[in-house]
Amino acid sequence: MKQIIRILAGRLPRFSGFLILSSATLLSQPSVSNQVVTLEVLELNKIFLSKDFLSLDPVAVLESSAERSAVSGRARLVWTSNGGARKISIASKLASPSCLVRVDLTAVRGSTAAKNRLELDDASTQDFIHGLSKSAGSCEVVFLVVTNDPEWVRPHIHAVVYTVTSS
Amino acid sequence: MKLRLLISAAILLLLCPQARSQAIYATSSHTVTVVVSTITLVQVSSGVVGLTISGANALAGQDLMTVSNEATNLLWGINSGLKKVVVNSSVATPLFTLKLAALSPSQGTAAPQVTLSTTATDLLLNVGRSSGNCVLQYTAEALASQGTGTDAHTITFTVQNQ
Repeated sequence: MKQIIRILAGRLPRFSGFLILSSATLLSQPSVSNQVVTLEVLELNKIFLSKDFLSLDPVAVLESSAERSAVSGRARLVWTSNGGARKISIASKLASPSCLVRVDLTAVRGSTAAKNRLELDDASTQDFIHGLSKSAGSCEVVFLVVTNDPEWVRPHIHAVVYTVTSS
Repeated sequence: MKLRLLISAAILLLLCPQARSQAIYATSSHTVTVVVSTITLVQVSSGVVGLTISGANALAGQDLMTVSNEATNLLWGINSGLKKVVVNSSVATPLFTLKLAALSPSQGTAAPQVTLSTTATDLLLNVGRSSGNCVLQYTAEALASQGTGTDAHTITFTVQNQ
């Protein structure tokens, strides 16, 4: 019996150390947790027109020739681009040689370099608004269609396409 | 009376042979002590969260684009006094804004939405002696003027005394 007590007494410091370590481990259980959150922002280019179908109304003021008839209409164009050096180009897919589509830009909001006026007299694509560099903006687009055909009364449809491209 | 007791005992010994044969040679005992230490555990349901801002998150004409994620939970187990959970990010100068809110905590009170930074900020308050969970709602904000890019945050949740 004495021998057993002697053995236990000899191991007591080691056993006590184990107990202390165990308690410390419990006390220092992780109260911290980590989570990796990755946020990726991709390039986006958004463009929106306030009117998909724009009906042009006759205007009283005619061009230089009294024989010309003219109609006008307006829509709002808004855009957002987080890419660098983007532009909006414009083209008429149904351009007619019998009429001229004049496009005026007004009330431009946003840091851009827009052309104030351009004419769509064929199907070619023209630069419209430059400098869409990481910005959101808007403008008002005013259409004026002038025809040199005094008998032109039939409905005439233009499909105007706006495209965001790189400068 | 004594005689009757002695006779009864003798009869019992005679009727119970096991009692006659068993003898106690030694006894031993030990003390069992159950110690419940302070336990403070916090864990996320997933170590990885991904948020992507793309064209689907943008409206033409608006500079601000947002996306949110509520796919993960925060879980905890605390057996001590009143605690709170604070949160911080590893990214000192992020390109974009990342916010976090604790939704529907089963215990405690959710703090207002936190804009994540390297400074530890309260996320969950009044948590004590409970095991519970809440939904982690991340909200990312990017301006068109900030362009494109990627932020990789390591978000750290820490339990502290309140």
